[in-house]
Amino acid sequence: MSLTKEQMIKLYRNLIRAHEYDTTMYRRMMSGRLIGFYHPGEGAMAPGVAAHTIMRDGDYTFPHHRAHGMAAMVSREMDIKRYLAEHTGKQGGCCEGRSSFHGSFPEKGLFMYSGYIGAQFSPAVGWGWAAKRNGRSQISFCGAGDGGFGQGRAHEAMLMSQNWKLPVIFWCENNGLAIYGDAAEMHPTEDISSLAQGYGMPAMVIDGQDLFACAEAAVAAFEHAREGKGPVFVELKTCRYHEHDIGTPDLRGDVQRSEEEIAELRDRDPVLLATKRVLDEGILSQDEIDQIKAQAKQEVEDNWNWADAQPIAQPTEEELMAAVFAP
Amino acid sequence: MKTVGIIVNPASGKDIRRVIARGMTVTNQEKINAVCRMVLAMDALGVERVEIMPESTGIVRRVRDLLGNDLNQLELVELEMPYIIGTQKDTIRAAKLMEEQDFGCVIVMGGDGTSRVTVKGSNNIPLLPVSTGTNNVFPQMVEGTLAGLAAAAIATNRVCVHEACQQSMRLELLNEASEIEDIALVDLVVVDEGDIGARAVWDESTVKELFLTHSRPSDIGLSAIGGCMHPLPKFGDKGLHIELGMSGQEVLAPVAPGMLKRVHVSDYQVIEAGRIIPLKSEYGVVALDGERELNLKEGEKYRVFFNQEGPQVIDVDRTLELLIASGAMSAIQENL
Repeated sequence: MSLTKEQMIKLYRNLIRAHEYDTTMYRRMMSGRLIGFYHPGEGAMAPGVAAHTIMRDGDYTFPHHRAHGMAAMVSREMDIKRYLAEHTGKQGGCCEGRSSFHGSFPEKGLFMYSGYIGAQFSPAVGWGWAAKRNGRSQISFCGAGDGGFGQGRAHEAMLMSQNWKLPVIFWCENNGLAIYGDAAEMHPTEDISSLAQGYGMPAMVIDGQDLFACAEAAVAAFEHAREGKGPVFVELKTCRYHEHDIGTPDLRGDVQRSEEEIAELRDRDPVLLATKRVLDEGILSQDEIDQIKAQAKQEVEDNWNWADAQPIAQPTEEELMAAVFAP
Repeated sequence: MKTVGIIVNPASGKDIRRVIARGMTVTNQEKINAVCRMVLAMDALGVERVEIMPESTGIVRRVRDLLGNDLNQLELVELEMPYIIGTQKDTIRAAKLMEEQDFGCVIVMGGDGTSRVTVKGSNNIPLLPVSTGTNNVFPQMVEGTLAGLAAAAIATNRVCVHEACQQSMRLELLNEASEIEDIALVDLVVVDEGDIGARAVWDESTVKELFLTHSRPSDIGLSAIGGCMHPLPKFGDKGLHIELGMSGQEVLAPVAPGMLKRVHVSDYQVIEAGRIIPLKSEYGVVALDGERELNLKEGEKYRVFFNQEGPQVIDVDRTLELLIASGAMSAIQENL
């Protein structure tokens, strides 16, 4: 159950890459070089990176929308330059440049993003059912935030998954805020995972800022599901440093979040904590860490250069209608 | 009349052992309900002030909401702390403050780890540890109302604290300079893993050696390896040092809830309180009371001190017997 040194290095590398993509997206949005909107993920990348690094090929995933699933795409080694092209309305984007921020890499088990909170619960259960019928020890990963678990679909999904013992992982990245809504006011209990008890589902609460603790939790949860024991609820306590999506005010209720609060949150930044861990335990040297960071920067730059070079998507009306199931 | 302190660990009873083992889940809602029961009992016995360590879930506010106007004279407040971080450092600081302010006792709601961290803050304040964790070897499984009565008996001087308490042994991990690196109240275990990861230890195959303050057959967790082999009472003056290997005496032990495993004990010795025993392992991770805490530094020699002068722990059964024998329960009947 413990992580190997190789796994720890891979996890760390993916966290640095995801962080680099996310912070670049933020800068591009602020300088008008992204289409649509962006939900920045700085401070919140560890849970998604951990889960998707541990996942196997063949697993299905419906990642949390934070950072637009960047943690998932990076860690599952999806063709991320096509996502960057998508986010800038270019041909060659993963949805032909028509969707703004929606990701789709079916070859890697990522079928959809959603335009509304909590849409992923229903298909995650369906794919969980398929995974069970396939009999190949696949899992169906359902990521959402504290806000998403307030949706009715979340409860239906947990009920069905537990009743039918489906290999669904309910991965709740609880940052305490649903846009402006304080989780303490929107949920009657402090831990969203206490919902799982009502469905007889095993649940655990994990420090979402600790990359390696998140990864161990993923190993434990995925194994449980793969062994046919049914779904698991994993709650990761995390945070975000920026507003819900760029351009909206950064409020808790109707009160602006203070700089002091954000500064305190940054004290437990996942990149800082993971860097300290790999250095303290001799997993990586400072030179190796610097190399990983430089490689991540180069990767991001190369992929953006590719995306920026693609022509703008200009579908005909016929092409647009061909991709719509119910106009 | 003294103030009673309460420390509640909002994170206890919820970690990875709910999935790896079949650890009991204790929701924060149930912890809040238990605190309500404690406070009501203390109010009935005339306690005037209870202070609860502040933490992120706002337990004091929630308890007050639930109790409404049900309290008579008892004032329920948050312990004043300059700031909270959301880690075990809050508990250490809270326990220190409670000792400095001469609290009568502190009720600690959590598992073995929560009690351990409380003692790091104060070894002197009488503890009433109440189980809400996973293995719950150090804390007691006691109903909140009765815990409240016992705490009140001490705080109102109806029962002498020295008669009510038993002294626990504690293990101290010493470095080469004989400085205390950390402590444990139940077990100090060296595991053969290079990472601290999700903190909780459950994999007995990685355990190299154990130091135990006691070993009861009724305990669960890694200390059960001792309990199933050479029982020693809690609050005694002897502990155990056990080495595990690939051969030796085979022991079947409940190392986690719902998890019985066979281990091979290659050697063990009974250790009298007061002795200092060197660690045989030169590398690995040290787990204290079930949680991985620190990596052994390469080349450094560590030792474990079996210190008899650990915390004073309130024996709830004994305290309540003394309380009833004092006639206090009859005398205050009109207040109920």
